[in-house]
Parts: sequence; C-alpha cells; structure tokens
Amino acid sequence: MGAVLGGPRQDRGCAGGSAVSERKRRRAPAPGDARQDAHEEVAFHIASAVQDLMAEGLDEAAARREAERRFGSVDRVEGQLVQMGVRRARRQRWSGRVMDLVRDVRHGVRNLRRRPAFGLMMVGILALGVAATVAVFRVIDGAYLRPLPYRNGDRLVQILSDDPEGRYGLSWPEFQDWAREGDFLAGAATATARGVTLREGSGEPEAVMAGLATAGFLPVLGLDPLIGRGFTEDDVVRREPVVMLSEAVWRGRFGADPSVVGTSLQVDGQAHVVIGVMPEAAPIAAGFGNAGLWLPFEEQDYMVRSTHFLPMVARLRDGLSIEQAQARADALVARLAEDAATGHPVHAVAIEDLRATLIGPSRPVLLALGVAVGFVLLIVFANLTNLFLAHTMDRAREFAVRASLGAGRRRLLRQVITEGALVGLTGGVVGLLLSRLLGGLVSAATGSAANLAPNTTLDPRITLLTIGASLVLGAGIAAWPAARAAFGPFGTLLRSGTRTIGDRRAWRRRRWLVGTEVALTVILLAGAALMIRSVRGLLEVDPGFTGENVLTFTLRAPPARYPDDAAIQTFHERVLAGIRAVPGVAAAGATIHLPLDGSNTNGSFRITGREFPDGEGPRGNKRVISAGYFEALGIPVLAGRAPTVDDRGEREVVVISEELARRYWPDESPIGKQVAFSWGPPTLQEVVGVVGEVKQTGLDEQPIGTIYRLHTTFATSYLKYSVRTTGDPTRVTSAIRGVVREVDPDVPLASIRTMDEIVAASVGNRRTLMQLLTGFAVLGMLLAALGVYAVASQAVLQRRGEIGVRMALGARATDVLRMVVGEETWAVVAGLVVGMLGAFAATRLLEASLFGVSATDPLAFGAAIVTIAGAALVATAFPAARAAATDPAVALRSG
Amino acid sequence: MDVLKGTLDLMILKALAHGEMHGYGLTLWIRRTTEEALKIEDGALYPALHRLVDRGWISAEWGMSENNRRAKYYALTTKGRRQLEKELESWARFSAALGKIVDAPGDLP
Repeated sequence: MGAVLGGPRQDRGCAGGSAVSERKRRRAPAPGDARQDAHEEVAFHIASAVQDLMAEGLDEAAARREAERRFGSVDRVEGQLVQMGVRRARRQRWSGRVMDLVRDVRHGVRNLRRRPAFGLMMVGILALGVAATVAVFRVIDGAYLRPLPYRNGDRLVQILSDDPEGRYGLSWPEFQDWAREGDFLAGAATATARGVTLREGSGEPEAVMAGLATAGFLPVLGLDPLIGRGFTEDDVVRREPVVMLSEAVWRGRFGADPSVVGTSLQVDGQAHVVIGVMPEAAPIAAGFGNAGLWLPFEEQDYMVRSTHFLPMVARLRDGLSIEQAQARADALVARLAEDAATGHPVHAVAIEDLRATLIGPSRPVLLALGVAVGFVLLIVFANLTNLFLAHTMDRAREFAVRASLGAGRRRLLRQVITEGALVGLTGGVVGLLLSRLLGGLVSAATGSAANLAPNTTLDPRITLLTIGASLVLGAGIAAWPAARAAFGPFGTLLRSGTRTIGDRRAWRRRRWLVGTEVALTVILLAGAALMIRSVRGLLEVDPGFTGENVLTFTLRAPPARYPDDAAIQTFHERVLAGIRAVPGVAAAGATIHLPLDGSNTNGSFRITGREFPDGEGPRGNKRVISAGYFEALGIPVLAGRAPTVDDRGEREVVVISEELARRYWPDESPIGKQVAFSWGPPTLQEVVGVVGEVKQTGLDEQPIGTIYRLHTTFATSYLKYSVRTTGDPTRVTSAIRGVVREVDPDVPLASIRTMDEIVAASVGNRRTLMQLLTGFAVLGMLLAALGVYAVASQAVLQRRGEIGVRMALGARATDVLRMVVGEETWAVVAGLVVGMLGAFAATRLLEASLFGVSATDPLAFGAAIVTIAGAALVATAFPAARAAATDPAVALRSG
Repeated sequence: MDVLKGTLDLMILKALAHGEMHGYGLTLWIRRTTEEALKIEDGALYPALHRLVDRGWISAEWGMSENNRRAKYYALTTKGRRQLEKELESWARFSAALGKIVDAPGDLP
C-alpha cells in the first residue's frame, strides 16, 4: 500500500495504512460559504473512508454504510459546522465594525483637539440648547407622558362643585354625601391644610404647615406609607393624637430613620405619636405639596355646607368611564334636588380626570415654553450646521487629497459624521447636567404640573433619551458637511489650489440657514418683549394698598390653650396692643387673608330689606379683620370711618369696599345700612365705612368688592398680621417676637415676609416665564448674530481675490462695502419678514399669560425686529469693513 | 471508553504536532496510535477541529491532495504548540498523582 503519512517527522508502520494520500500538494481556493465548506469537508471524509473500506474487501454499498456508521450522523455534523461557520462570520463582521468605529472616534477626537476653540464652541452651544430642551421636556414628560405616581392613576378623578361662575371645591358635608351616595366611586378622600405649632422635645416651637387627610387618602391613591401605617377611620372619628411625617421632613430632619415611628412630637401643645411617613407623591393629588406633617382630618365648626374648599379625590368604579360617572352624578343631583326631605340646596358636581385637573392650569405655559424651546433647538441646529460646514470647508483640501489617495468616500462620510456625533454626545452630557440649573425656573413658571416631573438628577429614561437624541442631533449637524466633504467637487479644488471650496449653491444654502435663525429669533424676541411688557404692566397696577415698609407674619392661637372665642380674641388684642407700643411701628392690624397672598374667601351676603333674584344676590370677597388693618396697609377710607379698638362686644360693624358701594348703593350712602354677613356667627351688622378697592387675588383681577368683619365678633385662631413701620420693616422683627413671647411663649411667628415680597411673589410665575423667554431670545439672537458673522467673514475671505480685482479696476471702498453688506443681508431681511409673519401666529400661544398688551402688540414686535436687525448689522459690519479695507495688491497676490 | 471533549482537543493537538493532516488522516492516526483502543465517532472530530481553529491553536487551509482531491488541511500554530506543551505537562502531573493513588499500599476491603 505505501500510504505516506503527511510530514517527515515520524514514520509509522504501514500496518493498516490507507489508500488515501494525506499529503497536500498545493493550496486550493476555499469554497464560498460555510455551507459549501462543511459539505465538502465531510464528503471528502466519507469518500476516503469508502475507498479504504472497499480496499479491505467490502462492496461499495456496504462500504458506504460502514463509513457512515463510523462517522455518526452526517447531517448533524454538517449542521453543527455550518452553524459554527455562520457564527464565526458574524463575529468577524462585528469586530470589524467595532474596529472601524473605534478608529473613527479616535480620528474625530484628534481632529477636534487640533482646533479646540471650534470644538468647545460647538459643544457649548449644543449644551445650552440641550439644557433648555431637557429642562422643559422634564415637565412635559411628567405631566403628559408618564403614568401618574399612583396605582392605576388614570382611574382617579377629582370631583368639584360645578357652578356657572366656575369650578371649585366641595364643602365637608357635601364631601361626606358624595362619598356615601356615589355608587360610581370605589373610594374617595379629601385633604386640606392648616398651620400648626410643632415642638420636638424641649426645643423651640416652630410654625409648620400640616396636611389634614381623611382615612381613605392613601388607599384611594393606591399608595402605601413609606414606613409605619396610615390613618384609619378610627383615627379620624375619635380624633386620635397621631401624626404622620412627610417624606421630605422624614428624610431631611430625621435622616430617614425608621425608628422614628412610635416616638412622640408636640403638635399644638399636645403629644402626638408618629405612626408613619406620607409618601411625597400623595399630596400632589390634593393640589398642595409643602405640608411637613400630616394629621387625621378634623371636622371644624366652620366647615358648614356653604363653605366650599375641599378637593375630592376619588377612584372610579371598575368599568365606568368618566362620562358614565358624570351621568350618574347628574341623575343623583336631580333626584336629591327633587327630594323635599333633603332640606338644603344640592350643588351640581363636575367629575374631572385627575391628571387634567392637576396640569390644566399649566397647559398654556407648557405649550408656549415647549414651542419656544423647539425654536431654540432649531436655531442651535442651523447654527451648528453652518459652523460645522465652515469647519469642513476649511479642511476641504485635506479631504480632497485623502479622497484622491483612495480613502473610500463612504469612510470619509462616516468619519465626519462620527465627529459630529462626538460633539453631540459631549454637548448632550454637559447639557443634561446644565438642565438642572434651569429646572427650578421652569418649575416656577409652569406651576402645579411641575410637581409631576421626575426630580432625580439622572432619571434613567430622560438621560438615555437625551444622550440618544444628542448623538442623532450631532450626526445630523454633520450630515450636510460630511456629504460635501466626501462627495464634493475635488477635481477643481486640487487643480486650482485654493484653500477652501464653495460653490454658489452651498453659500446660498448657508445664508438660508442664517435667515432661518433670524426668523426664529424674531419670534422668540417678540414673545419675550410681550412678556416683559406684561410683567412691567402688572407691577405698575395700583394694588389699592401701600406695600412699602409693611412686615407680615402669621400667628395662631392654638385651640388647646384657647378653647373659646373670648380667649382667642383676647390673645389677638393683646398682641396687637403690644405691637403698637413697639418703637418704629406706625400701625398694626390683622386679617384672615392678606391681599395677593394666594388665599381668599368669597361668598354671598344679604342686605336687610332688599330682595334679589335667585343667583344675583350680593357677593364679594370676605375678610375678617382687626382694628388698624386699613391703616397698616395704607388702604384709604373713602367714606365713614375705619373700625377702632372700641368697636367690640355687641356692636357689630362692617366695612365695605368701593366696588360694593357702587354696585349695591349706587345712589345713596351705604353708611348706616344693615347687612347680614353669613360667615361666622350670623348676626346683623351695620356698615360704618367704605374703603378703597384692593387687589385680593391677583394684580390682574377684575374688582368684585370686599366686605370686612371684625374679629372681635368672629373668633379666628389664625390671623395674618401686617405691621407698618417707619423704617426698614425687618428691623422690628425681634421686638415683635418679644411682644408675642410675652403674651404666649409657645406661639411662634410664621411666614415672616414683607408686603413687597408678597406682591412680587404674586407675579412670580409670569415673571419666571418672562425670564425664560428672554433668556431663550437672547441666546437665539447671539447665535443668529454669530451665524451672520461667521458666514460673512468666511465669504469675504474667500472672495478676496475678486475684491482685489474690483478695487484694482477702480471700485471704491464704499462700493465694496455696499456689495458685501448687500450680499450678506438679503437673507437676514428675508428672515425678518418671515419671522414677523411667524410671530403673528406664534404669540397667540402666550395669550393666557399676557396682561395689558395684545398678542400682536406693535411696540413689542417693533422692538424685536430692531434688536435682531441691529445685531445682524453689527455682525456684518466687521467683515464688510475688513473687505473695504483690502489692499488690492495683497489680495491679488494671495488669490 | 468514551472520550471527553478536552482529551479530544489534546489528541488533535498532539497529532498535528507530527505534521499537517486532513480530518480523515487524523481519524486514521488516532485509530493507529491507540491501536484501536479508543472508539470515537469520526464525525465528532470536525466540530472539535473547527473550534480549535476559532481558538487560534490550529490553522486550516484548503489544499489539493496528491490524487487531486480537495481536502481541508489542519496545522498546529505557535499558540497551539504552546498550548500542547501546557496540556501535556498538566496531563503528566495528573497521571502521576493518579498513579500514586492507585499504587498506594493497602488492601481492598
């Protein structure tokens, strides 16, 4: 036989040798794919085995059977080999791609580092755009895109009193009725808030806002207390001295210590046991977020059927839609109204989706901000594309050389786009971190909807979305420049030897980009100007009082130590007397609601001897005040007199505002007339004075009139004091604290603010919106000006030769100036026109926030146009001046 | 005896240390060298060969045999040679230890 084993190393015996040659004579090409490869290899084995077996004496069929038996399953082995081959090919493809990407990234980083100013500028501009977008998107995401932080949040509704004048809360008896009768509900709860005095151990008493919640509050929302337990029905009914901490207080003050459950806190002078921690998502549903403690709901005397103030949060029964529930509620209202046994008026209710109730007021602002931020992003995109294009135009020669040396066009394309993506990634990360700074402003401008926004710094969903979008944005910015770099007209470039390439079409497109930036900036500037005028207009409104040098604070006479009306009234009288004796105090008074502080009570009253048709009875804002209130706030007395300290006891006096006098006593003096003021003990009161109208709920309110009653006839444990001082109001704070401590050392001063601060806060969200829009507009303007400048400079540089020729042929500096300015500004002018048209449409979005100006106010629009036109002109001036100063000889030489 | 996967790898590496071979040749070599003591399914060799190629211990190349038939030839790489030395060393240690246990004095119960 003499089969030779491959290789000269060892020579085994020929016993049992093979007829098959094992040595390789020469190389052969590999079969195309994995399937072919495996098949051939196995086939060779089988064929060789058959050959040897036949040499041993078997016939072909038997030899084949034996060979296949010894082999095992041919199909299975072939299948295995094919799979392995396929996987191998895939691995190699992937590692190839990864290698390419790594190489592109390295190239990109190197290129950007070679021109650090360019790279930093691009990253900086992109970061600003991303920061603004993310800050606004956070709120939009929380308000509209995320599920509510409650179990099955879309089954939650809020039930409100439905009135022709608007929708407001329910009264406590109404809440109980609906909770009991509403068979379309699977649970209901309510919450309100009041001030309490907290004392830890033997520390100082401090004033804290406490939420009061019914037992169903957490169960209706589907939340569990963070630790411990929530309130039970027993706690509420039996007024158990239990308290829950808010999540913020538990984490901040008690360091999230679980052993705080079971300890005792002094609330309003009474020991309360801490039973658990309220999760921070819960109070959002009731519309407030700053309660530090929670107590079981307490029914108070003032919670009569006619006092509407409670938000009712409820869960719809399974399978019912809001419309069906509303229909059932309407039917129930009709039935109860007809039922004579009810004996009291039955109010219609409206059932609203909870999310809609929470974010409803914020919608217009969110929309305006969303559109504004979209414009900013577009401006950033256009600007960066232009800058990137300039960058690649400068490197055009480099690209041309590389292309001619055989670097694939697609590789060049990929590399430039990778560079863009790198800028995008860096800008996105920086922008994400920057957005935290803007977050506070956006929340202040949008109000309650911001409560739903995710408040962790690096929320995973938003982080991933931002990074992804930034990568895409960066790649998008580089798209057009990359296409030019890879597929540009290289031939002419290499031949002519000029530094940069630029055909007319590219330059025109770049100027269109600049024009777009200008147009968008005009819209932003118009919006900002409108808001500036609105806020300024608001602050110029006469509020009806004099806010300078007035200090305010809140005092509560805790019910534990002041259980009856006389005690409460004495407390306030003593404090007021003491304050009036402090040097530097010109006047002092108290009220239940300060003007513009966000709280109000309004309702109806009756005028003795006069009947009014149903629903048209006298109405107005209602106040409980002390003597000295009008003097303290500088509210003018227009007729009659203001109440004095002698008006106490059986004499019931009332003061009305100018608007009420005008409306209900147009032809006579209201002084001496009798009214029935149905808030507090119902008695008849005599009008003794008419005072000037005061803005109570907002500087932009339409006057509805206010009626004032003395606290000596209506005991109110909780009063807001206003103290007019001769100098800086904050200087008397410690003296006043001393006065209060003398009357009762356990009563702290709460919410110490000057009246000026209160007035400023009342325009807070409008002002913040103004600040945001102004910031966006300024950013847009700077970018647009930068864009104009960049294009103009590069254009002038490129046309140096042409300018040199013209000047050599007799053109004067002014001719050149006119040529350059004309060339660079036609796009700006077009942008101004388009922008103004766009602004007419877009500023409609701001209508809800404007005051005193229309959405198309010509002054604002004019200011916007002048501002951006000026900026663009300045931006063009420098390159144009440079062009006009060209020395023709130098220009012609450098060509 | 049934053969474990690791030992199959060792056999392939050792076989290829003697020179380039195709899969069928390997089968014959193993059968001859172990004097028919080990019975492996011929087909089990091929996935092992491909796996060793992926690992970089052996290389594969299509070639023309002397009778003008196309066959895939396998050869040991430098990495593979080093791996073989390592494996032989640990195999020697293992069998020495085993031998000590087997030779240990003491009667069977």
